[in-house]
Formats: sequence, C-alpha cells, structure tokens
Amino acid sequence: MDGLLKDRLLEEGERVAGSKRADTIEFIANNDSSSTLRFSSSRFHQGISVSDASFHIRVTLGRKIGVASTNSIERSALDRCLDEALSIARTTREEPFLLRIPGPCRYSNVSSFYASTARASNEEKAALVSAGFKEGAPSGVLHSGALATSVGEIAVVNSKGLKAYHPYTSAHLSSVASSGDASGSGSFVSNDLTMIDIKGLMRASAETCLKSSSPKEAPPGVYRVLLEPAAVSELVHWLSYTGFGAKGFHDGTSFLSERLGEAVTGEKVAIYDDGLDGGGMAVPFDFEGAPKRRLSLIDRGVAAGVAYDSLTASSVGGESTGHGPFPGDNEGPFPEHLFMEGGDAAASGMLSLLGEGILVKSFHYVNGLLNPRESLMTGMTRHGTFLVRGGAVKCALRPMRFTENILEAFRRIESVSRETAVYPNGSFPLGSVSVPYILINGFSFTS
Amino acid sequence: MKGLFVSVLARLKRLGADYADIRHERITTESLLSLDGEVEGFSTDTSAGVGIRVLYKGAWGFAATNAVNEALAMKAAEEALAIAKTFSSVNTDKVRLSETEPFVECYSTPYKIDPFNVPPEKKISLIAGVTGAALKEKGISSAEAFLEFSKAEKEFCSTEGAIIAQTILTSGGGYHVIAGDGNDAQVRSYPDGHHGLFATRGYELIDELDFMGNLPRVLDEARSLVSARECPSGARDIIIDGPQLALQIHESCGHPAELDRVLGAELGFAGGSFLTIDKLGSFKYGSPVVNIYADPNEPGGAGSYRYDDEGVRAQRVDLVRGGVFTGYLTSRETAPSIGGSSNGSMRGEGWGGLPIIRMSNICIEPGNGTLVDLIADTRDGLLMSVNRSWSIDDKRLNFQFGTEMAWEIRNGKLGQPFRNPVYYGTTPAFWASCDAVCGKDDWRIWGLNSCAKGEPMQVSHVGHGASPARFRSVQVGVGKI
Repeated sequence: MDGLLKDRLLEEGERVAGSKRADTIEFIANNDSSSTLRFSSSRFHQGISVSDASFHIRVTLGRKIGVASTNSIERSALDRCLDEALSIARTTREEPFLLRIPGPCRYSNVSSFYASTARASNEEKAALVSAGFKEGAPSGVLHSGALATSVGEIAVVNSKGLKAYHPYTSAHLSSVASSGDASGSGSFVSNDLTMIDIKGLMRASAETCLKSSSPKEAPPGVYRVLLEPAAVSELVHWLSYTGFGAKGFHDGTSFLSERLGEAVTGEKVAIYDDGLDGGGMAVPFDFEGAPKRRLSLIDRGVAAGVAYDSLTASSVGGESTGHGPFPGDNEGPFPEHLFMEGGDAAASGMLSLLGEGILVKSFHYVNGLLNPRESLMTGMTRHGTFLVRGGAVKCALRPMRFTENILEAFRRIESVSRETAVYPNGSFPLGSVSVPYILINGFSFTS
Repeated sequence: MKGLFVSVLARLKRLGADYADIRHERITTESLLSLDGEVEGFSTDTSAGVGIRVLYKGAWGFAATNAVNEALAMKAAEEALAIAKTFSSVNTDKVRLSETEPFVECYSTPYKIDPFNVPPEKKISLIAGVTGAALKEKGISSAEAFLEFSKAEKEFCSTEGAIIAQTILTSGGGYHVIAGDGNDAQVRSYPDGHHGLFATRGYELIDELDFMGNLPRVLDEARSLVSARECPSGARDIIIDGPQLALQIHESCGHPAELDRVLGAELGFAGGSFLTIDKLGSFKYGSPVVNIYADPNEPGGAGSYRYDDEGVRAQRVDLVRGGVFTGYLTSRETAPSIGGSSNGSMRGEGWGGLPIIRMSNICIEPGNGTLVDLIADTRDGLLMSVNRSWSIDDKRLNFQFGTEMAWEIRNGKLGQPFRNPVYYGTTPAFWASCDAVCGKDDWRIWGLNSCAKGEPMQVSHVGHGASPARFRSVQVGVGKI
C-alpha cells in the first residue's frame, strides 16, 4: 500500500486555504489505499487494490457557497478545483444564512493507525483466509466473503486557521459459510488487522451453518425474539439514516421530528454517537475539522438529539455537533460512530431468558423507508434463524420477513446484553456501529 | 493514453500475464440541489485514473490508481499481477475466458444539448423555481429538487488488441415535495422517487420532463395523502405504474439474472439467485404476457453503452420470453459455464471499479392498450405509484415494496387515495399473476443512478423500460401491524 502524504496534504491545504480568494476557504483531503480480497465457495475470485484520493474545496463569498472536488493532488488540478468552486459561488444564489465554519480546534488524541495493518501484504492476508477455509472443509462447508484493509489519511485546513490531520488503518472481515440452503456468517471490523480472529470467525460461521440445516417453516406472527448484534446493527444503522440526521429532523420526515424530550422507546434503550470512543472506529474530527464529541440520540428511552454539520447548523442558527460529511454530500449529516449501550444481562444467558421464541443471527436487506416517521422497517432474517423452546435452540427456521415499528419494538425490550460487537457503518472506513444482544417481547414477522 | 497503455500491456505480457486489459476513465460530474426555494448544493467533481486487470494462470488481479503517469500505472500493473499470482497459487480451479473480437472503435452516446454548456443560472432557476413555488402552497412543508450531469470518457485496451474509446453522457434529476400536518409527513416525487430519473441523454431530457408543468398534480397528490386513509390489507388486484414496475424488474429479474450471482460471486455479500442454471430455458418465471430483455443499445437508457468494460460489444438478450426464463447477463468468465460467450454485461464504477456483471437496461416489452384502458378493465383493485421502500431476500424471491401512493379502483374508475401502501409476495408467483402490460404509449425508459453491488461497493446507472402492468390477487398492506 502507498505511503502517507501528510506534509504534502497540509502544505497544499495551507496554500489553497490561504489564497485569500474568498471570504472562507476549506480544503478537505482524504487519501486512501485499499485492498480487498474477495472469496467465493472457498476460492479467491476477486483481488482489488485501489489507490485514490479526494480533495474537496468549499468557498464562501458572502452568503454564496461553492463546492468543487477532484481526485488529483497535482497543484494545477487543485488550482482548477479552487477556480471551479469560486465560479460556482459567484454564479449561485445567496443562502438565507451565513455559513459558519470552525476555527482552530484542539483535538483528542485518537489512535487509529496500525503500521502492521498498513504493511500487511496480500500474501499474508490470503494465507489467513486460506486457513479459515479449512475450518469448514471437513464438513463440506464453503466460505464466501471479503477481507478488506485500508490505509489512509484525512487532512482539513481552512482559512480561519483550522488545521487537522489524522492517519488511519482499517480491516474488516466478512465471511459467510454455506452448505446447500444453510448458512452462517461472521464479521469483525477493527483498525488493527491483528485483532481479527479470522480463523475463529470462519469457524463460528461454519458452526452456525451446520446448525442451520434442515430448516422448518414458522408461520408469520408476533414472536419473542433474541436479536444478535449483527441483526441489531442493521436496525440501529437504519434508525440513524431515517431519524438521527438534521435534514430529516427539520423537514419532518424523521421519527424524532418535534419529539425531542419525549419518551420514544423503553428505558432500556440508550443510543449515542461518539467518534472518540475507541470501542468503535474512532476519529478525532469530522470532514469540516469540527472536534468529535459524544452526542446523545436516545437517552434512557427519551429522544435527546440529532446530528448537525456546519451547513445544517448555520441554517437553523445552531451549532455543529461534529458530523460534517464531505462538502457536496447532499444527504446531510448523520451519526457515523453509533453506540447502543449494553445492559446487564450476560449474552450466554439470554437464550434462557428468551425461553420461547426466535433467535435471529442477522438481517438482510433491511429498509427503513416504509414510513420513516413511524420508524417502520422491513427486512429478512439471514444466516441463522432458530426456533427456541425451553431456553434452547430446537430447530433451524427458514428466513422470515419482519415488518415492524422499531421504536415501538424497542419499548418491548426485556433484556440487553453486557457484551457488544462492532460493525462497519457507511462507506467511509472509520464509520462503525456498536450494539448488544437484545431480547424483545413481541416482534412482527409478516411473511 | 494509447502509448501508456501499450507500454503497460507489453510489460505485463513480458512478466507472464496470460491476459490483461487497462481502462482509463475521466468522469466529470455536476450536481445541483435546491431546498425550499434556496440553492442548498452546487458542486462539481472530477475523477480520473486507470484500472488494470490481469489474468495469470487462471486467476485475476486488479489494481487501480488515481495517479495517471507511466511509473505509477506500471506499479499498479505489477500489483495486479502480484495479486493474480497469489490467487493462482491458492486456487485449484482456473478462470477460462470466452472468445471476443478485439474491437477498435470510438463511440459516444447521442445527445442534443450538452448539459455542461447550459448556463448554471438556467439550472438554478429551474430547481429553485420548483421548490420555491411548492413551498408557497398550503400544506407543503418542504420541497427538494435536484439535477445531476456526468460525462465519463473511457479508453480501453487489451492484450488481445481491442482499442475502444467511449464517452457516456448522462443527465438526471427530479424533485419531491413533503406535505405534513405535524403528525405525519407524506412524500410525493416526480418523475420518480429517491434520486429521480437518469438517462444517457443531454439537457433535452430535463426540458422534456417539464418539472413545473407537473408540479400542480404532484402538490395535489402530496396534500391528499395527509388526509388519506391507510391502504387496506388483503389480497387485491393491483396495477403498478411504470416507475415502480421498473424497480420490481430491477430487484426480482435483473439481479437474479446476473450470472456471477448465480455462480456464487456475491454469496458473501448481496447473496445468490433463485434462477439457477438448471432452470435456464424451462423455468416458468411468469405468465405468458411477461417478456423481459436486457439491451445496452436501448436509446437513452441510463445503462446504455456500445461496449462493456471487457471490450465486448453490447447485445440484446431475452431474459424472459413468453413467461419462460431464457437468459442471463454474462461476462467472458461466466459465459462458458452455460456454454456461451459473453453478452457484454461487465461494467466497473469508474476507473477504480473492478468490472462485474451489471444490469444495463432491463426492460419489459410493452403489451397492449393504455393505462386508462387497464383501469377501466379492473373491477376492484388498486393503482400503486412510485417506489418508497424496497426489500428482497438474498435469493431474490421474497420481496416487499412500499409505494408513495395508491388509489382505489372501483368498477373501472379511480377512487380515493390511500397512504402508506405496501405489497409483497414471491417472485415467480407474482409474475405469474401478471395478466396485462400496457402498450407503447405508456412505456418509457426509467433510469436509476444508485444500483449497488460488489465489494468494495460499486454504484451503477441502470435503465428499465416499463409500462404499467396488472397483477391479480397480490397481498397488500402489511405496513401496519
């Protein structure tokens, strides 16, 4: 993987941001080299190495804003990019507000870079995965998935004197073990490749696969469910996408619109965003250079907050919460370092607490746009759905579709595990969602 | 770029590559967004780079770099070769490529008005005008309009002698309005939901869409939804409009017909397919009125091109003929598994995306009559319009779609509107219940800009030709439990 370009990024940032050609100038650089080894049926079929960068320049002329970006660090390309941003700012209309960008900031010390991950060769990574193939081989289980690593850096410089830089590495294994119609899955994300127990995850997914064979049909209906963290992560991700961003909150489509301060779930639910928490994929600042800090979203069941960047905050006279996306991202800010707090139950004891119901390992193709105002979502169970009787798995079930108002379902949470697991969140390597096991007394399966 | 291409490919041959191709792309994008009468976003982006694919002793490697000079392109080429060598030493089965002619051609998608030459003031005036006018209307709480234009200049060269240059110009846009009463917020979009409508056309597309002319209808419909009843549940005859049928085709026919999915390439991520190879040529996918084809040559489709990213000439292929499953989307690697050669369905997202099988324009053939005729022919049913939510299982069988709006149909006439409509089913049973597809007058190419597939995730433009169609006794209304 390519080396980092810290000095050059900051030098170009200072040159562009210091050019005094606009009232404010922001320079946001992300240089990233990624490697993805994809495997299917226990053979490697796609090996992908990509070195790319993005350089976003946002300028203001009074209340006019212009944004341009390029993926070339060549000085001539950056100058053209600045010219384009200025041209747009001159052409466009005035905003009803003045964009307020952050000035110089102090950042928490966050460690996201592991040299061993940056240096890991494709041969080493292929060998780790190949060893995992052997975990399923004796029982005829085949593995499909990907081991992806990246090394990159973010630099933000602006004309108010802000200067921020952060290097990172990331590693993510996703593995599906399959045999006929049975399957199991495993996933782990970390800044440090050596933290991923690749063989262990592939072994566990093979074990789930074997338990999933000969599935029975369960009729649609309302069941007690134990959702494992992989399943919970999908629900929390979609809650974030449909409800925790400032744009949806203010246009009225969010389930939190006009409900801050109200109880929206049961008291066992606490969801927050914290880019500084090393329990997730930490990063010290957002893509505007605003410092990361903890933002409570649902606090003991009560709607507590939504995520803002400088643009959305300026438009409503508020403050950024440190969730600035790349300039030009029209979807606006979202929490990208999500945590659902663990509870007091031991995960190992939750099948007993469930007693009678359904154990769901993970969901597939969840969609939260049915009625975002009511947090109505649908999706399929996948890679392990089990009927539980008397606190033990009785048999595997075929995949089932749920359709459920998730906030209402979260009112019916009976138990939350102490243990949590981390999953990727969004396309940027440093987004994550950390969630526990949850036991819900009543979850609707519709087909 | 040709000199660089020749040098890189010659070096890879010297180093033992059995096959290699190199693709340079430069993509220029312009995006505009208006919210509530203001211009919330106006940006441009330029992305350029080179991607190199190498086949060595039956295994692939791919490397791409944004730094386009000979030294770094050569470094990427060697990295791609190294990956292929690593895989070759581990894999037991070997990739075999179907034959293709090494084409030499330049091609550009046709257009009338270059959107990049249209004055920005005109574009701003259009989207700010629409959202500003919408917001002045009673009951409308928010309005958003957007335009996006892109030009992809692609050059492709292979060790087999192909030299292909293509320029793909794409235009797209749309808007949605939100009507709310404090307790509910209902969205109505034009001309399609989510990201609007995209096509390989110029600014003439935007002119033809007539954003302003359609606004009064869209506003009325949005407002009507706020006081509308919830869509009732039960088995109903439904007519699905063109935009929604486009997504139904996309999810339940296009994706499962991708032969790489069928062969397991996406098992670790998006899933497999119920359209297994044993079903080819005999499986009853739908009723006899269902004829679905893929065609990258379809004029103006969002997924139109002359050559795919393996240098294979774009071809029409019937996926479903008379209700029977008849074909797959294939690549040079996958086609031999069904005893054929590639039908040109491989595309990568930009220069950095490894080409994978992608839908081009997946279209249902028009049938007969008009939407008005079809409504008149329906005694008791629902008309469902424009997608709001979508979900389907990893084999592409069990699906559920929500639409923005539905209307009751009673004795051949449209009646009251319903909000939050949802329908669900399983793919073959659903398509088997299709008894009518409207004709050419109601058929058009819809276009999405957001089809996601692969790891790292690649997003592609795809087109879908569709007219409204009727489905008998479909389960409706699980939105409320």
